[in-house]
Amino acid sequence: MEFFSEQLVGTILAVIGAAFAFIIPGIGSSKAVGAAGQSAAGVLSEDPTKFVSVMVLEALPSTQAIYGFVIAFLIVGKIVVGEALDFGSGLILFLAGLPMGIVGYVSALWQGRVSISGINMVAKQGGGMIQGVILALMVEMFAILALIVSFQIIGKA
Amino acid sequence: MKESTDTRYVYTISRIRVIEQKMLSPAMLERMIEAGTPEEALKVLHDAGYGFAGAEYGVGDYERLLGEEQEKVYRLLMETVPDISEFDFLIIKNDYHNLKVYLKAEFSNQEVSAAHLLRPSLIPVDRLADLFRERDFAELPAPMAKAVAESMEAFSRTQDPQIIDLVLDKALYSHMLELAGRLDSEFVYSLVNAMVDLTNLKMLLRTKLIRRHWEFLEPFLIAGGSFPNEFYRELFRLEFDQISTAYTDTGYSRLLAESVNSLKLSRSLAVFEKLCDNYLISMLKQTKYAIFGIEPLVTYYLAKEMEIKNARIIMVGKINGLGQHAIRERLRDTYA
Repeated sequence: MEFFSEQLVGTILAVIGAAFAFIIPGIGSSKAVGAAGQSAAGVLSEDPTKFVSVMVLEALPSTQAIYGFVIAFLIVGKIVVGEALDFGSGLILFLAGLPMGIVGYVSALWQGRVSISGINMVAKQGGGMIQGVILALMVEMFAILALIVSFQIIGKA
Repeated sequence: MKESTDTRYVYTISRIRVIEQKMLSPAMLERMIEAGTPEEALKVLHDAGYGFAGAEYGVGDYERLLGEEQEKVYRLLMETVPDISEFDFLIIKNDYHNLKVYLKAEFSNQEVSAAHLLRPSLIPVDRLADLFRERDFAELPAPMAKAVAESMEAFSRTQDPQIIDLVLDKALYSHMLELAGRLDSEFVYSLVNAMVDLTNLKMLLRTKLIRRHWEFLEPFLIAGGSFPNEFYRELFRLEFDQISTAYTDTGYSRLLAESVNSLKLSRSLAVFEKLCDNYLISMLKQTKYAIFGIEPLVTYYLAKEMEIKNARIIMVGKINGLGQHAIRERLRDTYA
């Protein structure tokens, strides 16, 4: 079991943390943007003039995947080729991936719901895009907080 | 009620949210009622986008226009949902209606007029004509085939055409309950359940109005609703004024209380039937803001059905020169 030699454990933990920080919010954003996209297409097939409004609303839940990408990138940046990470640093980097991963996933799904509601609101009224975006951004705040927390933890490694 | 998280219908729901803006509002219905001629009333429907694009409809075609409007709703579902058979429970009502038309025509040796057949239906109306010519009902879904056999047998025994309605209605609602039960939607099931309760109640009231016995009614009560047969047996003994109190704690108590007067004085079910429709519409409004699940689709289909019923009431009233007040009295609440 050369691969799992003690020296490598720290590095492996950090890689798992990075993967988690991206994969989980990535799944959430994909689901949310996917559903919002279908909803947007529903509105557009009846009223193509609403393209800009529904496109903005559709795109909102994609930010969680972007934040996850940033955290994963920062974690991977701590790994230097040919140099083993010590166990303590590896564990901290692994834990750093958790806030972004978990909060990112949940907030993406729920922001997706608000986006779809916003799209349906736009479908009913001429305006409504700004209100829909603001409501969806309320959920964004939690993803941003998770990003900051994960970022801070990385700084401690 | 449990909120659905099924995202398979988001596309259709958003389309519906746009289209339902064009549904007939109370103001538009009022414009139809106040129209000087049936032509003017029909024009309101035209402006609301009724009928297939490009088709011409005169006042004489209003039935065709209304029928095609309902077909449009079903086509939208057919084009956009993953599995249209989930909506069978909505359209089998038309199948059972068409079966009634064919059976009655057969027993009275008359030709079936296409105008009496309803669309959309599970069995296309042309196919139904073939089935009756060949007398081969194996192709029908099992509950339908069984109901046809039963109503033929019952008619040959009693020679009473009314029995066809009773047998087929019972089969229809049992069939609807069965199909709705497969959907795993609390809303849909409670909706069909309410339809069953109200249909049972309507049969009970009608039986009392025509002064028939409990024994006449009992075999035709639909099983599977909220109440057992014993409840209806107790109810049957009560006077009209007392019936609503038996339903205290349920949503039906108020609608009964409001229809008691017309039951007693004019011995008519018209007000009761209208209040039943209003009751169902108020249930439909629960899903007005839902974003997931099958519920908004079911709501749209049924809301459209009610809207078309309102349009029909006005058109029939206008064509027959009914007064504005009399038309308004018959109108159902609007979903829009």
